Amino acid sequence: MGCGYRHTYTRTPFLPLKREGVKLKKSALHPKSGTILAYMLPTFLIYTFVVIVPIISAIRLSFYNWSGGKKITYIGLNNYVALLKDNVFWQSFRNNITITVLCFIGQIGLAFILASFLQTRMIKWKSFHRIVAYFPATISAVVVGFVWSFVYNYDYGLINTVLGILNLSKWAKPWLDNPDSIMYAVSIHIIWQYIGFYMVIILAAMASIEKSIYEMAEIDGASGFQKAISITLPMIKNTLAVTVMLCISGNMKIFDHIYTMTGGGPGNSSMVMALDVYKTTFIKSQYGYASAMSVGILVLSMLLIFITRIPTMSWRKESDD
Amino acid sequence: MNKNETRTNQVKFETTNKVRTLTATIISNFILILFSFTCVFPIIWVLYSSFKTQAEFMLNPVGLPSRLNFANYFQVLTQTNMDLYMLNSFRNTVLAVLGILLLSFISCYFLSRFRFKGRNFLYNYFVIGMLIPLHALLVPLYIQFKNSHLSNHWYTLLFPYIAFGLPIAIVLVESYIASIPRELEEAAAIDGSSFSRTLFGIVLPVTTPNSSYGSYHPVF
Repeated sequence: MGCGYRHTYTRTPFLPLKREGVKLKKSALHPKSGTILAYMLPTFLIYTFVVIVPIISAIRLSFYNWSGGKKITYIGLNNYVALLKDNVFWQSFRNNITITVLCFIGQIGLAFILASFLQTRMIKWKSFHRIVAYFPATISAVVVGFVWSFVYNYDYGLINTVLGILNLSKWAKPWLDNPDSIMYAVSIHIIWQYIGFYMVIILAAMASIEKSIYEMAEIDGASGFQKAISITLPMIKNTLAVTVMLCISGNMKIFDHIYTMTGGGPGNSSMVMALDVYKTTFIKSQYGYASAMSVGILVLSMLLIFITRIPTMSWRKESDD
Repeated sequence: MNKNETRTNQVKFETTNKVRTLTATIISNFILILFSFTCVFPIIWVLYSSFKTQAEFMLNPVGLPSRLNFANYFQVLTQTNMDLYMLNSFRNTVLAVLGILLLSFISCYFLSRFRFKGRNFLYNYFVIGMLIPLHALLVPLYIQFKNSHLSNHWYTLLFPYIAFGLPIAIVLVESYIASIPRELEEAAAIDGSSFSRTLFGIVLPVTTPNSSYGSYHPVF
């Protein structure tokens, strides 16, 4: 599995607590494996029941042709063969990639820049910015989708109204009806929503860097930009790896934003994989084929995560040495 | 003469430096304020637009409402079951967040503190859930819930909320627990605290800020 990003750190064993006069329950630090099992079991069971078992039954269903009735026929790999030729699915995969790349630049990149700004002494009202930036992430994706479809609306949307006020009405466009730019329009509000989420993660990682390192760099005459690139970036690369994984996994399964804003339209130009599966399931009622698509999403996401993990493997080797 | 020149040069240098930092301060503050403003403005816009009548909104979508008009709210409260929906959302959110918080914390503690057999497998097992959208599994999930008589209850939704919220919470909380010094638990053990008491009385409060962050993000 290519998804085990974690912070690397040295694991010091617990101290041998055998001092004289101190009576210790050994189990206080080293619980029996039965205890571990008992604690882990509820999580494991709920998770297995709700996530893993449906994945397995989706894999099983993907070999069948089934539209919900009693008739269910085994068709082998035909669903997968059809999936490989399915233009809409691959277009939605491309759209997912577009969103992921734009969000990688827009969310993690901008969040890093803004977090670096917030680390400097120049900025006033730091906690205000931190709270306000996180605000959109707390709102439901469905609400965000609706609000932004108001923003983009041609007749009374925020953007076109502001352009009208500035006498730039010629720039006004039906933002959500242009197949060429729809992915950018859609990505902007996804970036907008989660930028604060990544900013808070990056800020937390930055806070754990020792201040003396920056002071030394300042004595040596490093500029703010140099400090951000040569000190902050390498120091928080483990956290950045986690945010990259969150970004990829989050954007490969993006659904609510697109569903509420465009519904995949115009045509299929803003279709994403999860929405494609949803439509195949509930509008076309091709349950077997939709299951094959879900398996496809899982495999493609795993592949992407694995690819992005390759550079971080060398980091982990470095820190292990 | 020479001395004077260097002094004026120095003064010049200092003033240009000061001007430079001042402009940098103003520009960076301006950028951040602009950013924060864009973060809240769409929401504020919807908020004050909710006080407008339909005609007023069509006429000027951006302007402030001429007067506070609560008709829209009356309409929502009388013609829909919004109060019930809000109560349902509230209940689901609170219970799901508590569930994710507790379950992810417990598993993360063991995942990050102990090297037991199958630990890496278990971690990856939990992370797989992050890669598949809930909407792609609705049919198998529904069939399964129906067969086990779990569908159509007030608590039905809690299971998917918790289970699909777990992966992100586990990734975030696990790395955070790893950064908590072990001395904390060792000190507790020396003071005679039992394992479960250390877990819930000492490690849990330390992790709560981070865990709650990881937990409530996926729920809403």
